[in-house]
Amino acid sequence: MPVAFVETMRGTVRDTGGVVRSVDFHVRASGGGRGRFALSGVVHAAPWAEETVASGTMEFALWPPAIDYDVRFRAADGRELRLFGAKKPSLFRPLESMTVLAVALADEAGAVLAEGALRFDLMDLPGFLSSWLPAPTKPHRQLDARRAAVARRELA
Amino acid sequence: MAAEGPLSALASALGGKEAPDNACRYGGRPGHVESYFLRANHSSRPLALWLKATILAPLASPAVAEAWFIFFDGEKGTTFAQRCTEPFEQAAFTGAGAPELQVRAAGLELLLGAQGSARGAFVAPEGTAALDLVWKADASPIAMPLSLFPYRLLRTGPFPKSKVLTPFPALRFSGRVTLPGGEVVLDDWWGMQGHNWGKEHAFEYVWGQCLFPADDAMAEGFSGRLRVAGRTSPRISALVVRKGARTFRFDTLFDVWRQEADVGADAWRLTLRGGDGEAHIEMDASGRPMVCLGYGNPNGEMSYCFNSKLARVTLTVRPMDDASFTCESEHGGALEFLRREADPRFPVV
Repeated sequence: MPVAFVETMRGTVRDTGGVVRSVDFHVRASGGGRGRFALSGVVHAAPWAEETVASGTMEFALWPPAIDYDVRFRAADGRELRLFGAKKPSLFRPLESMTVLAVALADEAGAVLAEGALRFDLMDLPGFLSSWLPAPTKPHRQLDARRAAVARRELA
Repeated sequence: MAAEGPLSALASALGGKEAPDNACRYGGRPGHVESYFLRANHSSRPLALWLKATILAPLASPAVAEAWFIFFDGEKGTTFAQRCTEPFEQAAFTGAGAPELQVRAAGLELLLGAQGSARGAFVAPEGTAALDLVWKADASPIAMPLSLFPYRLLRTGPFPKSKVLTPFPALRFSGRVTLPGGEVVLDDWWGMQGHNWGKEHAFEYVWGQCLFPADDAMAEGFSGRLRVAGRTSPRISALVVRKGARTFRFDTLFDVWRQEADVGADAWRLTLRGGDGEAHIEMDASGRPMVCLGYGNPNGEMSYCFNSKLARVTLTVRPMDDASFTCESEHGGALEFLRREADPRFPVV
């Protein structure tokens, strides 16, 4: 049965020049067939993209256990960038392994622009859990409005 | 101005009608501080003024009324600052506070309301300053009365001991100020009027307010620490942002794990997250004219307010349901630091 939820991950990456940059994404994951979800939302990754719409995929793998993220967005200079990474669920470190996402930011050619870690804030847990309720829940409506506003601004 | 005993205060806190925003809360009892303050900024030049009328009712001596005036000139890098004091019996705070409150204190006359006025003169060693101002509330929704406290009980109840309200967050001033160095004409300067009261000044705080007329936006917030039962609380912050008809409130207050406040000597950076999204504000008065004001507390202790009205401000908001926006002001920020110790860089007014 298809499901959907809204998730926010925030953190920092260090670019190739050693500068630490704040990065976050706020996405809806929908689908779930064969452990695969489509992602759609908004990403902040200055200086590459202050705020832009994003899409991508999330895949659950049973063994070895992993949740792979691949978030794609267009940078301000027109390049297609990918923010990809994986959570490695572990029974020995359940909290950290499910809330920390090691990521790399790469360009179209696969060159890594930055690496770092994003975290799921447990203060977002109520919103995250409520986003699993049958749509349209508040987190979904808010994300839809946000993504539409960002897309409108980009068109303008 | 009705006397307020413990029972009437409790009834008011629990369900009684809240007094009008500008109503004077002083009931004649010792142990009270109260202030009405105004500030206005030139729309493009680094010029600003700040006015305040206060009541200080010490525990061990008669109450006094004070009038304060500062003119900040960022072009010359100078300030004119003066305080005048008189016994409270000689002052007058008359009216219900709505629609107006009339104040006469130590040479300053204020008519506080949506259409107000100020007149007065301040004699200082470097000369005399005189002012004759009128103002009116802006018509935008950003000008609606604002409280940084999320619950009425925080304004009417015993906690916290220091209350803050902004009856008029966006005012437009005109008139003239005569300074020892010449006259300044206020021609549609933007500003605000606030109202504070309580049993004492907050233990420590940073307060900031900024108008962004070009963006039809404003922001006001604070980071502060309270003293509760002799102990100092963690730093608590709140921020309210308005843009057009929308208000973004970051005022949960006690979720300190979602608040990042960085308080420097002359700068304040605050990041807050909440149900309305995320907000980040930076206010920096480094290198700008600043004045240190000595605030007496009813128990005789002193607090020192480092006051600039020419801070540089950058505000970024990421709403949960809308595109993010950024507002900037080169020198339109009102920024105040209340501390327990004076700073040798500044003489105390």
